[in-house]
Amino acid sequence: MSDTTTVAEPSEPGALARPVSPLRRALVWVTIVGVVAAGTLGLAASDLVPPSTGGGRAARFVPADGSASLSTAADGTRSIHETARDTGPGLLLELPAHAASGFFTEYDESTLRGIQLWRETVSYLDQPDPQISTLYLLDDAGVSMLSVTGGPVGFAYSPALVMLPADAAPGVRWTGEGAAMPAGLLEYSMEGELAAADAGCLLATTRTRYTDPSSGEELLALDETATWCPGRGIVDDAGVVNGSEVRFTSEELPAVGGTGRAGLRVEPAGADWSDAADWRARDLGFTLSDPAFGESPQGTPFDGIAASTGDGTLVAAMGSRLAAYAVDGAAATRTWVASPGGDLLTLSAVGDVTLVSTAERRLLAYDERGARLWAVEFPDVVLAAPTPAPDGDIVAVSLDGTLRRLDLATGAELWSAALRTDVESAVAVGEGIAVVVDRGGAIMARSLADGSARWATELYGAARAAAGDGVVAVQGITSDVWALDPADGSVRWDARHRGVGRGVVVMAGLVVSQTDEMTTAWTAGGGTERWSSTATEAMLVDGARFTLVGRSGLEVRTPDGGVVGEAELGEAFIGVSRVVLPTPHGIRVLQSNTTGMEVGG
Amino acid sequence: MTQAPAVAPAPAPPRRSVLRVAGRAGYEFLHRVILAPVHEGRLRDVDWPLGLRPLVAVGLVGYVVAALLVLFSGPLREWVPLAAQSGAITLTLPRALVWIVLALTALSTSLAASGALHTRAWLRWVMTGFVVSVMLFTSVPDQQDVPVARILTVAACVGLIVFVALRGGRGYRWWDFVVIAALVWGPLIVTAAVLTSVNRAAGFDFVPLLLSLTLSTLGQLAVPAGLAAGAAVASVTVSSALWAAKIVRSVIGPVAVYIVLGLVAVWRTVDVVLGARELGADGESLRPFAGAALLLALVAGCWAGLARVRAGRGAPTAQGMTDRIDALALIVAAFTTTTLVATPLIVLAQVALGYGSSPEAATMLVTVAGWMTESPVVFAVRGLGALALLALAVVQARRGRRTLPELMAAVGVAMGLISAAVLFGFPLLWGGDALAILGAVLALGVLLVSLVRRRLSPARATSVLIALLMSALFAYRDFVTDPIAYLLGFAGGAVVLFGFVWSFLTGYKAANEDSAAYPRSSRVQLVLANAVFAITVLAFLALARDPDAAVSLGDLAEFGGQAFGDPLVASGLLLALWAAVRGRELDDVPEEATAEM
Repeated sequence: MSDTTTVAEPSEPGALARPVSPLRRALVWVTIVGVVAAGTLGLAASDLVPPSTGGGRAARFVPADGSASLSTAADGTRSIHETARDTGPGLLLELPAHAASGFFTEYDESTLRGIQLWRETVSYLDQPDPQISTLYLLDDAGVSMLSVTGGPVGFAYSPALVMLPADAAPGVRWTGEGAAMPAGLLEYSMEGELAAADAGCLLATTRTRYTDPSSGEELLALDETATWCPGRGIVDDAGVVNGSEVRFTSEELPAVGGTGRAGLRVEPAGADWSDAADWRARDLGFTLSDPAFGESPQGTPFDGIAASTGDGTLVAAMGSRLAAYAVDGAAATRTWVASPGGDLLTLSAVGDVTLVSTAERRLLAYDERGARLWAVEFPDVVLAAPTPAPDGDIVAVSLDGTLRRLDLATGAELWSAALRTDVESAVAVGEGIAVVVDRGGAIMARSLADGSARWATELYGAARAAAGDGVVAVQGITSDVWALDPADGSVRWDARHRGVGRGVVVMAGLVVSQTDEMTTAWTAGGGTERWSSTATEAMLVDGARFTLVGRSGLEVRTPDGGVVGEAELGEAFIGVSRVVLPTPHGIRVLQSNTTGMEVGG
Repeated sequence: MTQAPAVAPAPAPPRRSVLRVAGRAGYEFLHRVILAPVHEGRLRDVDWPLGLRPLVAVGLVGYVVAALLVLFSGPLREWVPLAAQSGAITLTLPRALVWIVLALTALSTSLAASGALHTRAWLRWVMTGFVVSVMLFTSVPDQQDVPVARILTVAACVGLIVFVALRGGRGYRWWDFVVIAALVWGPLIVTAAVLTSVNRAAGFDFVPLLLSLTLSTLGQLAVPAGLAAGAAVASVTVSSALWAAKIVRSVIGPVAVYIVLGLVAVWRTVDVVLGARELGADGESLRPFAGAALLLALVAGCWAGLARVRAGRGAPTAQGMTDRIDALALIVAAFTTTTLVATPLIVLAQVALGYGSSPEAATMLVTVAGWMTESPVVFAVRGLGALALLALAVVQARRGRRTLPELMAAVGVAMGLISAAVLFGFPLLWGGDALAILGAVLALGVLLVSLVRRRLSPARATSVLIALLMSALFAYRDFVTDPIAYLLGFAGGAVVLFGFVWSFLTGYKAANEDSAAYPRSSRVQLVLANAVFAITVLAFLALARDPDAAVSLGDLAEFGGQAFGDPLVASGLLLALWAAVRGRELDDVPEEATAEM
């Protein structure tokens, strides 16, 4: 403030008095600008160094993480090939223990820490077969096969079977031999040769023989000619397996369209918790089951996101990948894996369909057997789980406010609207509208039919909304709750309770708001408080009851507030995150330390 | 900006074309509301020593780069691959831009250290200690067997301390910054290189996490700038209302004042009627209006008290207040923000822990820092700041100063009421919209009485028009930031960006002045450091599209708007209404009388 500043003589009169030569002035400019430029460029250079990729010249033929292709066999049967790529032993740890154990002795610790792996997972669309996963190693030898799991015969190669040598180029030949199964049960030998193909692709002709080391008997003969194309992997493969001809061709999986398989359930699954009085918690054990390598315990820890599909399948995120488990009693057995690509942000399920959003700004859908249905790109990341809409659709919004209604089975876009504001909360769907609350407290309603604007209003601190029973309920960042008229957005009633808002639902004529201090229910019509609870961690509904989860237990309440069931969960350990999910007949708790609980009758 | 006299009446040619009059009115408005404040408040080359100009150029380039990152954060997020951490953290950053934000942070740190070098010893050493802590903090993630980054950082810290001991207080030299920049950037580059080489090979990407850790900790230092940014919209609102009315009278003519006044009066009457319907909805709706009335009454009461203790006559001016609000808001925010003390403690705790000190010491520092950022402590400090402001207002008034004491008193009253509401549940806190409605009601009342008494002179009509326009523009103040908000698509970001840029252009008059304790070269570097760092934090938030990634500048600007912007509007309304009651035109101050305000 000028009023209070004491004005004194310039601090460096001598310097000012001396004339400065243009050369010296230029030198000063160059030095000051230069030091800042050098620092900036130094930071850029040290940060933008591209990670080194193993596999030599063969690496460019490996598909990118999260890519998928549709493969068609000579008999017309289809399968989806999905790619996962990772650095470090994560993909090895997801193998059945008997398949992986050899690799942890074959490779030293420092190699394992930086090991570059590529997993290709095949999901069959026209056959009931389970997924088959092939794990490849990218190293100085090139691209080599490490293991094949999921099929009736499993392989674990030592050394890895080279599929494309590091110096991949026309005319290159290579050979290899080693063990094809743990404990030397099977041995392999192979030879291969590369030739040029169109569009920069390579034609790899290989002859592989599998023999019984004890008898020397040839058990499997495989002669194949595979066309490898840059960034796409094998696009055409013709061969003879023990005298039978096989062939398949691959093309890029269309982003939308689905698999066309009948019987996919796209409506939200109903739940029935009428037996809540008999509920009790049982610890879940997670296992991997492989037809060839047998059962082994799940070792990889879960991330903090998970979902339950309509048939009760549990889907959890591990690193940048998904794993699904069929739950039977206290046993959760892995049934499929998926690789959406990039870091995973949200995971949810509607009916049989699992939905996952990624940092690559994509929303992807998988069917009940882990086959990718579609992958839709948004301008920004989707931070909130999509909301089910009528007619087997969903409504999703990305962080930049792009609101879309999509067909759940195919991913086809019914309409899209650009709200041009940042949105992180889920869309509320009901009463014929889709309601979005942005981070600034603006509430925007769009027609569910065509996405046209219906109304907009602003409530200080509004954070999220739920719609139904003739109201749009809005919960504030803190303890405010408003009930709006779905027709015009006017406030019908408002109320307050304690704490920081965590979730709001509308069901059975009630608006129920949960904060980090309590849960309170009001009548949707008039805002009369009906009941409250101390539950703070999660709130789930089955259409007729509320399951309110606290830090160490849960209670099931009817709309009149009566407690009809309770179960003890125990507190989560420090540092362990807990996800609570609804199932058709109870509640499921998944914890990041690879433990969980099934709560039911 | 020098206190503005009334716009000189235009020479009255026999016939003036509409276009020429409109053009002149438009230019006058632009000049008074934007160009003149920028001319007075921006950094100016006032005998800058050798080397300061390139430093300012570098700082300006950094500022513009950060502003562009904010403006184009949406498209950048769409085009540049994002980096994220699965599961618990949903922070997504355009990966290829991380180094730019790191470089801007390093630039502001270098400017801060270099700027404090020749100031008073306490500031010099406090700043040096903090910069050393930050340097050590960024090297903590280097956990290699031979920690090259740590060793180099410790050596650079020792070098910095020695340099400050040798050069501190000895007068600006252009190479001071060069040496300090080399000491700050060098270890950071090595740390980034080590983290990249070690972690990339294992499939991890640590540098975005380093940036996130750094800015989520240091981001609290942008709190004062964020709070001060909230005052910018109110400042432009008051200034626009003032000059729109005055230019209508002086450039177009008194008749135009009556016409515009009639139109605005109808507009505001409709608004008041609609507002009154909401007022009658329930008892809760009355509170903001009662709070607004209380705010106006308390500010008026304080001003009456100041008038009694001040020797001599004269009134404060609205334009003088808009000229001073940015600097006052920044200084008050800086002195009443507890996170400015808590953040260095947290950095120290992290450094202590990272360099092998006992966990107890780190825990104690974090506990103290946590205590300082609890709401009761934060608002108790703000309450004390309010009392200090009121006391300073009295001291300034006793010295015969005008305008600044009144502005201090208004801000002190507002901060006191807010603190009382938070600490003691004081129920009568005003709302911005209620203040606008109440201002309109009072202005319409004055207008009605004047009409009934047939005493609506051009001067009085102009003052009433100013009050009505002020209330209208304040009620619809989003008009200033809505275009930016549409461009940004980032809730809260527009107010902050507008506030930052407006403060940068108009609020640094003090940096053009000089003193032995705080030389001009130091002031220039320190304000640049503050400006570049604040907008860098905003750029980080915009790129991450997460208000919680560092510090929620949008919420801070909203609070700043309430604490600094609303009292400015209340003051403007009071001054306009008082001028109208006395039958005068607001800020109708002779040229020679303005300099002393």
